[in-house]
Amino acid sequence: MPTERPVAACQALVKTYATASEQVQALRGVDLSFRRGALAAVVGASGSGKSSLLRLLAGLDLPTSGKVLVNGLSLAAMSPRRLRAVRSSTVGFVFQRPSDNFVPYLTVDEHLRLAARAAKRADGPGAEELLDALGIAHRRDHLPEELSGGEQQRAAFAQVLLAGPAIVVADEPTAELDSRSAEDLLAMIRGLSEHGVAFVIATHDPGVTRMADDVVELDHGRVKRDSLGAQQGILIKTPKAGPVTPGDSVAEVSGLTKTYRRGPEGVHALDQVSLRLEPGRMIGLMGRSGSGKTTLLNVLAGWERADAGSVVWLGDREARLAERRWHEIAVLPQKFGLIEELTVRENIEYPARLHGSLESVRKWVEKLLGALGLEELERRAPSETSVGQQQRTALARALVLRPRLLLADEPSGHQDATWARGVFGCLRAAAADGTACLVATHNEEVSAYFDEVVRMANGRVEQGLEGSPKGANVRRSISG
Amino acid sequence: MVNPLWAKSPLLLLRFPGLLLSVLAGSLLLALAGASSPLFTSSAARSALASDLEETTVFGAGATIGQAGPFEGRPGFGPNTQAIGYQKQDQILRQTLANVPNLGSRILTLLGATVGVETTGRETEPDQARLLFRTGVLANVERVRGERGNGVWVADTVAGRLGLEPGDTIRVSLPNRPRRIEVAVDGIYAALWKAPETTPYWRSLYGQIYPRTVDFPPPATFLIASESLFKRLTRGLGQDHAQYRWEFPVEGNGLTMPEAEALEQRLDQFQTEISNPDSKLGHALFPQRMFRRIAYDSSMSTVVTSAKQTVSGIQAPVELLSSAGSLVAIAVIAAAGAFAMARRRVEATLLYARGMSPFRIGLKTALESLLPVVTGTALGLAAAVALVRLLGPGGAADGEALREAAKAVLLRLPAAVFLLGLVAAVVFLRRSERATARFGRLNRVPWEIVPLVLAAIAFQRLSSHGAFVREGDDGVSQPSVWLLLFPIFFIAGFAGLAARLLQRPLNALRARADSLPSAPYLAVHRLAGARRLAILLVTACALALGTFVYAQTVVSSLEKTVAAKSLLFVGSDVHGVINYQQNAPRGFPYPVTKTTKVLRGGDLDGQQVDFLAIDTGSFAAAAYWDASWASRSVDELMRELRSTSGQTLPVLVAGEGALTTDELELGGARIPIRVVETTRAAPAMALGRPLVVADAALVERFADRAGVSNPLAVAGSDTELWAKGPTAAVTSALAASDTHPFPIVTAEEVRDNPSITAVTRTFGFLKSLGFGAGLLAVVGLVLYLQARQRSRIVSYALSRRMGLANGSHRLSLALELGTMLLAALAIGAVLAIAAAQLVLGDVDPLANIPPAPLFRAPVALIFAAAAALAGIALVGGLLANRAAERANFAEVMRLAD
Repeated sequence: MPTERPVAACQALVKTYATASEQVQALRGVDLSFRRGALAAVVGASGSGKSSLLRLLAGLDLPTSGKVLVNGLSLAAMSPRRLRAVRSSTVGFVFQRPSDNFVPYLTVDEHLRLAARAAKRADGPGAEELLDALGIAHRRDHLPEELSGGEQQRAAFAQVLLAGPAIVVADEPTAELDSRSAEDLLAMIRGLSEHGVAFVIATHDPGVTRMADDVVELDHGRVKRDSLGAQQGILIKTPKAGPVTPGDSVAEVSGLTKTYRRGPEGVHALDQVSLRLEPGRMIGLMGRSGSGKTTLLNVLAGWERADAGSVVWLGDREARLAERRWHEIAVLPQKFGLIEELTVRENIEYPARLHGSLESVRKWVEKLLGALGLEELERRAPSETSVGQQQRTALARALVLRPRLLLADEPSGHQDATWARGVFGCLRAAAADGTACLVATHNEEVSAYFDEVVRMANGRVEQGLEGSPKGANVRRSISG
Repeated sequence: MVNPLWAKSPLLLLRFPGLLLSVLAGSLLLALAGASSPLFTSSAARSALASDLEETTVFGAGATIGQAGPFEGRPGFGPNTQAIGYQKQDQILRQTLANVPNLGSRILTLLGATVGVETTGRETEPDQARLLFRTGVLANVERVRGERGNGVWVADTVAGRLGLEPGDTIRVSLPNRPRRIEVAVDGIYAALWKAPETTPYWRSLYGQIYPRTVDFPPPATFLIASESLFKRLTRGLGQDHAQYRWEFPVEGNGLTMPEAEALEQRLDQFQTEISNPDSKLGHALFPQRMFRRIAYDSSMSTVVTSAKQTVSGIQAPVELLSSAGSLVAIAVIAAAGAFAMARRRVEATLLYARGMSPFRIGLKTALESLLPVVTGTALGLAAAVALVRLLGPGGAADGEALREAAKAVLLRLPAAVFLLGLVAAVVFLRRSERATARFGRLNRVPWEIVPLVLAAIAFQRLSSHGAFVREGDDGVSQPSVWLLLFPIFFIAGFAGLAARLLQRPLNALRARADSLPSAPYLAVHRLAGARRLAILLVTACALALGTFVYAQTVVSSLEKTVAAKSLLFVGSDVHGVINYQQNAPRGFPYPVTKTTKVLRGGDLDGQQVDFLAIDTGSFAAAAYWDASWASRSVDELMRELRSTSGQTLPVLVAGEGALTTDELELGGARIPIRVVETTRAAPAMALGRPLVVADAALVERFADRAGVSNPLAVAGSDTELWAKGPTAAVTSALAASDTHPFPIVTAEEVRDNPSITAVTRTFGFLKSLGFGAGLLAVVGLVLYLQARQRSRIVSYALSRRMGLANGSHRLSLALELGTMLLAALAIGAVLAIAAAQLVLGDVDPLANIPPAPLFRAPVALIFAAAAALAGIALVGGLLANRAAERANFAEVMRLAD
């Protein structure tokens, strides 16, 4: 149960970063306290300062001014040795990207042994217990690269928790997880917080904010609301469904099968998947981590070959991979692939430049910059923007040529509720413009945006079709 | 419980090939630099020994024992004064020196009296010859005709005068002695004095073969006989003694310095023993201290000393350059340490977040690097041995040098491991904002200031102390340390600034890049947004290539200068001294001309001048002439010098400005002159003293008209034949000519100066270092590009889907790499040439010979390097593109599935 005794606190916390082009004030005088045994959710738009706050709490960065106190002691005043001890066993930090939490050449078991060496508490859960609770006991002897993103995230929590920290700081830990994995993780967090561990979690996930004891909302580096209690789910307006234009499909997938090896096992990434993508329709591809969503997107993007089955592109059954008109297919993967040397605007314009239609899309680029809140950032390098802003830049880039097909993987994974709406608004607008959209996500909250929802599990389409909430424009378009 | 992080460390780098390669390369280079100094020095010593041995000859360097005495032992003048014969002595000496390493078999010489030689059948003027027996003699003369037999061999000069042919009989006699002995002539050989003094075999008898000066006739030629015939003839003439000479030449190809020193020591010991009658050897040779007028000679000490001096002339620069190579290697190792952290950024960030200390990170990196460093070190040592064997001036190094090299390498090994750990720890520490803030102010100071200040200090030292500050006892001047350090500091400092400044035009270009096609558009943006590492690599490339160009500029300028100086000093390719009365030989196979120089022989404008009388008919073809010296061609000048109205002597004045007089005081007469042309230089001119050149025949005529004796035929005038052509052939032809010029001097001999050798070798080494470092930097740039492309697979995969053609991507990479490499070359070359021009005035190992140092930029080399770099850029772009193409896009994209 949460106690009123704070395990960590921030006093007049200011953090300023110097980028190549300007000084960015990430935090502008934040006063906060985090209770022992409480789960605190830090929410806010991309670039609001969440990640900066977390890094300061974990002792990874130094405040420009103000103080961070852990167990009543100022981190800035600590000796380097003491600060390392705090990072080693008092504050556990879980990085946003699951793979960043691992030394690539150590197995899960070896990571846990490392964490156990740093453990100072004897009353915490053991490695076996944690792995069982997180459902990854069978992955113990695997290397991180052999784990799915969800499994990586759970293993990351396992190693942090094994060190017995007083406070765990995590940056969007559920962003890469499907809803069931996220629920399992949150349940475990809840259980541990009752043992006195404080959790500070930066998130856009309404599931986390619902469960949180305290919610802190940051806005442009300032606290907007503090300790508001558990927040109700974020309301998402049900959008207007895009117009349905029956006719030829943009792509037709039938009987796709793909098996690959992960360690000693064979994994059925796709198992007889069939799907029809039509202009103007947005299909949601939902399922747990490892269900085959990304593999399907990869096959459609031409980055992976299916073992069996076919993809018919624009009705041309004979068209080979190399003959497809790739500029008509846009991809928004989870890794954004922005070009570091180009500014935000130049990245968005890049497909048009390659296509030779730069002049004709100038006005459209302006609109995209405005719609996705990127106008003020257009001259910045991607690395000088937040992850959420980078994701919106990648979306704008995907839409700049008004593609026939858009393949998007967790397009709102790094967005707060407001920008999640903005992102899906853009996707709906693209669909209304005639683009066929296939959007992989595990965020159930956004299912209302889809014309159709395909649920996948173990590489198979588990549930054939769900209509949109309105149900008016549902057509049967999938099978398998 | 074993910590898995440590347990996996020793073999971990096998998972990171790029990192493994950089650690291997760094440690290899460090070992190579460390080992190369003793190995190169040893090889240079071997070369110097070979060169000095060639000059001294193996006979001169070996042991020569000379004595005069009876053929057989005989009793002394008192009791127990028995002397032993030369054959017994021969036996003792052979036994004593038989097992001395690198000493060959003895050559025995019996030199008898000069005898009269006359024919038996017909009346001729008797001639003279000197009786000689020498081991292997007939193999070392040019046999004109005849066969081996029981008779003697006479020189062709004697045979010619006496009309002898093989099979004839001659009669020999001692002067003023009645005895005559007849002996058959087996054959006729070419008189030895006709050949130049280049045959090692005859070196100890040069005094008995060649004339003392050109004014003396050659000594009597040898009457060559077998040992038994020699004794029979001598005894027949009433004598029983001769001069004996035992020679033990140095043997063994490519003597090493330790071997030479051991031989020198053994010969010194031998000399001590042979000179001491109480020693065992002394007693054996001279039991009763009779006939001890022994002469011992060996130039081995001189050879060793000279070789050591040559080596000492290059040792300091070699060690310096070895240190410079080590510095480059240290920079590579430091970069590898930094790369270790950059390549494994995620791991480092995670370990930082988990509270790992920089010390443990350093220790872990050191443990990871240990095996690669050991491997790289072993490879470096092997490469040093192979390179020195292949490219060293004297081939393979000796065993002692190998041991020294191994020791140097072993000392560097832990240093490399420590450095890797240290750099990794420091780079890791930079993750801490607290640590970064501590060094924040220091970071803002441009690092270029340090090398630029050092360059200024080096330049000041060069200006005040000269480029050759160390003069050894032997007069060998060595290039100053500052001469090598200056360009390195100068180029490093300015290259760093230039690389920074390049960002400005690139940013301007980036702003205007909108209209460019995809490939240059991407290349321009990547270049404009280049990170610190790329800038550093360009600077490193510029430094390495600049060092290479600098060394080449100095060497080629020096070669040009020395060639001009040597030719100007000699007058042509070869000159030989003759008498003023002699003329140039007729039918000489190469262009030849006669000149007479009178040092300070004239007075012009109140200033002493040298005077050179030439044969204007043959001068243009045979003498060295640089067209830049005069405004007219040499042929035209010669025509002018020949044409006179009879009133004035046409002259050419070299090295003098405007003249206020029209008279030349020469040989006590005032001769009216007409200056045909004032030239910048002329052959045979001395530094700082003008030279007046005129036609010899006209000079004689004007002197005669002035009533004074010929000013060219005075004591102190030097008459020379100047000949142009291949040195060896011209030298032989001159020596064989009727004029018998002596001595003969070649331009090559002037160029073969230890000071020049020291400079060219030093800069040759610097060039190799620059080339090696350049290669490394270029490879580093290519690897950087490849590594960067691998880390950008996602953006590449997306770009390909957006329509980026494979060719455009390849071209963009080639353009990027090519621009970086060519910019580095341009920066390096410009700075190198500037640095060379700043110091070249001081790089003059023959400062007393005009002209002043000449400059030659290695333009062809720079263009060749540019072409090579462009090729590398294309290949590098291809490789980087292939690395991107080979990536498994699906695997990269599978983040959460």
